[in-house]
Amino acid sequence: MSNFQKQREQQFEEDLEKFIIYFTGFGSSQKNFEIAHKYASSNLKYHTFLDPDAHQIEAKFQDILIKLQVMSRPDTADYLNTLFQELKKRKLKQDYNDIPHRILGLLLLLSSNLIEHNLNREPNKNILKRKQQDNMSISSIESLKDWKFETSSEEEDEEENKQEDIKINQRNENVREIQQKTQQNQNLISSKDQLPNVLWHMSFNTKKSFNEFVSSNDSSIQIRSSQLFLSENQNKSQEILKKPRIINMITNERDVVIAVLYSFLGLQSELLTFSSGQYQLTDFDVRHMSHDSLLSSTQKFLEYATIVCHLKKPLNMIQKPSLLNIEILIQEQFWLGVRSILSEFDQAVTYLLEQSIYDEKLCQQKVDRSITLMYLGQSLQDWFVIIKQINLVAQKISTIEANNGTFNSPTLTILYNLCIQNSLQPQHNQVYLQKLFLYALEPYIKLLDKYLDYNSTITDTFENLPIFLQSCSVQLKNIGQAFQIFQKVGLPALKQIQFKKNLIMRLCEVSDTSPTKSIQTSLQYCTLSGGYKFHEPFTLTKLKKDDIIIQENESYSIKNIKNPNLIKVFQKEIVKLIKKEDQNIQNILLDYLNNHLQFIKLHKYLRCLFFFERVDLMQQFIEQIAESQSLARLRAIQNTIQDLLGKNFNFNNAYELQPQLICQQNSQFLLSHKSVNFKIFLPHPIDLIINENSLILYNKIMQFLLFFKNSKLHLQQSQVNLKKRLKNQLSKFLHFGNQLTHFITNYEYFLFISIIQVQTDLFLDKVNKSLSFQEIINNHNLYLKTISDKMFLNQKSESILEAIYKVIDIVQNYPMLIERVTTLDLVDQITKNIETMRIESEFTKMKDSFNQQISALILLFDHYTQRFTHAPEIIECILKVNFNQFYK
Amino acid sequence: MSNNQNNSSNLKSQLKVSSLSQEKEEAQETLEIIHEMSQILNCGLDRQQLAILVSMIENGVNPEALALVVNEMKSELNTYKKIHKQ
Repeated sequence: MSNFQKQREQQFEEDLEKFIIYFTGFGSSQKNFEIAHKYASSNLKYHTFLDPDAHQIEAKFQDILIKLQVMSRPDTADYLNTLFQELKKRKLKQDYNDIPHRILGLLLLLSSNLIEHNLNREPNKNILKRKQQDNMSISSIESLKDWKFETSSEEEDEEENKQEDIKINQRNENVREIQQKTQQNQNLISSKDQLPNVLWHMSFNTKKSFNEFVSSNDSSIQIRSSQLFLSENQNKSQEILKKPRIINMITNERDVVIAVLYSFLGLQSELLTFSSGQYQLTDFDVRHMSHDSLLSSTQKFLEYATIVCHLKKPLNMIQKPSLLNIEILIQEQFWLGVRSILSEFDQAVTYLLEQSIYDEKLCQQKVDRSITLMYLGQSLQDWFVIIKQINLVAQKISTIEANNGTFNSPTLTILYNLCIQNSLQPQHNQVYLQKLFLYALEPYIKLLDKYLDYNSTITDTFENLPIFLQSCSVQLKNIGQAFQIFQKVGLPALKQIQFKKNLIMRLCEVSDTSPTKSIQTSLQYCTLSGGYKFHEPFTLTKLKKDDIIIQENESYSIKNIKNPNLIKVFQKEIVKLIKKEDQNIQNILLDYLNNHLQFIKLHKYLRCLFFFERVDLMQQFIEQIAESQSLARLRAIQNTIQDLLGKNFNFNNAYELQPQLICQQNSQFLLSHKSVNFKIFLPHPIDLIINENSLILYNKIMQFLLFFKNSKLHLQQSQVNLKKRLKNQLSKFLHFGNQLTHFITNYEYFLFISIIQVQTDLFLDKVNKSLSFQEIINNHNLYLKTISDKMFLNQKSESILEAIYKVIDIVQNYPMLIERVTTLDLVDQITKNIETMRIESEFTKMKDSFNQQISALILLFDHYTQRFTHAPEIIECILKVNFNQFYK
Repeated sequence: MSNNQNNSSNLKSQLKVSSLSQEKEEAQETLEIIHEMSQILNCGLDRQQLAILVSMIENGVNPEALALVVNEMKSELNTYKKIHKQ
């Protein structure tokens, strides 16, 4: 047996003897003592109980507490709990960790008649108080075993407790005062923790607390008394004043200013220092503020505002400015200034709405632009929520009667100076803060301009905005119609200055090397017969007086004008006139050209007609040539016609078709010209969605689609004509035509259904579900981008687009070839044979080329789908487009 | 030298005495807390009995066994007293 065990055993025996003596009163020499000793020894040493479970004991203890509470003895329950907590803090013997629980467990097992006992018993709370004040540590109770305790009755205990109570109460009063002081100090110190975390990310240049401010410079506070509160809220204010928690949230003015500035301006690095009784602004730094932080800080700012609005107390009631009262005074003055700023904000917005004036100059400044850009990312709804909240605060604060326009608080002075320093228009210095918002709202204010009443403010009418957004989406549903509008409206857009200018230059061909020759040629084209009088729009008075002697209001014959400079000027004037679309001049020139056809190169004549959009004249001219059956002449102008009117113009049909149809065809041919661009005027606010960049994309897509459609149309026409004219012959041409038709049809499906239809449906769904205008704009841009990417119209897919164009070129050339075949009957036998051989060779080449191009295109598609797996429609297109594979 | 040693030993003994008295005061306070708890719970124990019981628990005696023994002792004692009164 170890020494420790021996000690333990010895200790146990000693304790047991004492236990029996104290509990039974038997002497050690008595027989009953031995029996009791044996009984106790055997039961304590050889019991079968488990070790006490602290959790179970704790749970049982809690049940007891609940029982006491149910017995309407909550004080007793609290006291008991406090005693146990105190016991746990005491340092008992360290052999076991849960000695207090063991002791408690013993007491719980020994307790009886808890209810009856405690009904009339009042707890003695003096013990704990004494212990708290003394703050003494505790040792084991073992040392008390040998002490002799006086067995006092309960009455004696009560008397003792009463005497102790008197002493303790005196001590308690002192303690309370100390505690209050410490609490106040703690509250002031810990107020920083209560302010929003966002503030404490900022770095402060100096950190003077309000206490220091008050203690150091009491006299520097310049606060004018004013009636700031409404009487009806006076009771409320007093109740709220009693709660120190609210006031401690805003301990000093600087924190309030920081919160406001952060909310208004998104300032992150802070700026205010306090020295010699005045606040000073150090650096004014504007940094990017995230959307979430802006919203959260704004909400917190508004919470402060609402809290402060409730702190209403007449200033004349405050006689001695105590710590808290001064805070209230300063806050009120501050909020007065904020109110004035907010009211100005509202006025400025109203003014802008009425006047539709935007300070564009300020937007051009880089500093403001950065601020503007910072806020432009916000969605419309969020901004209006913020503005609404700010205006609500302004309305609340506006009920306070106060001095207007004067800044009594130093912080307001700082804000005022801030406005002056940073505003670029001195007369709008106070509106600078509002302008920051306004720049961000600029695009939305444009919207509001159109859809709000000018006499109202944002608070009144911004609720119409969701209605407007809904109507916006309705308008956007008709965006498919916009494509049709493009077609109708775009036709007049053919009159492009550059196009005309190029034609005129080609027509005139003024060259510097041989001016005399060029003069002659230009005279051939542009001169009129002698003695012709020019119309009023053209005056030679515009010419330089040095070059020629001019007599006003006289007719001039161009033949007589030999000065080359003059001719150039004349030509330029002609161009100007044409630009002005002077029909008279046009007619005159055309008449001249018609009268001098033998001198004019045919192709240039056609170009001239084309330029003047006299398709009827072009038709007549072509008919004339066709009637003359001069193939040579036709071939001479064929390239020009193809270039101008498209490659599928059918000479034979020139006089069969109605002029209108030709015009339609011609218009389609003209539209296939790649230099054609559509311009459309869209009503506001659609122009915000369909802006210039999106118009460029639209044009790109439209050009490609029109070109494609044009090719398809003429292919179909040629197939029909081929079937009509040569029913049983030339089946190989038909077969090849079918191949081409197959490609065109399936590719058309790919373009119009798989891409455009699908994307349009997706886009319209998004538009209907969108919550903000910005979302609509983004979705529209994505819509256009997706379409252009999928149609390979972007820069990355140039190779694929080239391959497609090569295939479509073949499709376009095929009808021409067919027409050559059909016109073989018109020529003599020798020419026919030669022509047949040529046609055969060209056809073979065309067919081979087509097969090659198709396989190349399919390979490119394949490669594309491997790189970009999100292109199922292309896979479908590949399957369908390959005629030979498809019909295997 | 001997005076210094005497002085140091006196100081030590004084320190010991003061620490012992402090310990005793602390123990007394702890016991009072336990006594107060037992009073609320109506355990029917006085300070001396409590001191013994707490000492036994600190030395490792199982509280349940101890409580059983205490209750048994009490009941047997009551019976003994009744018999002897008669």
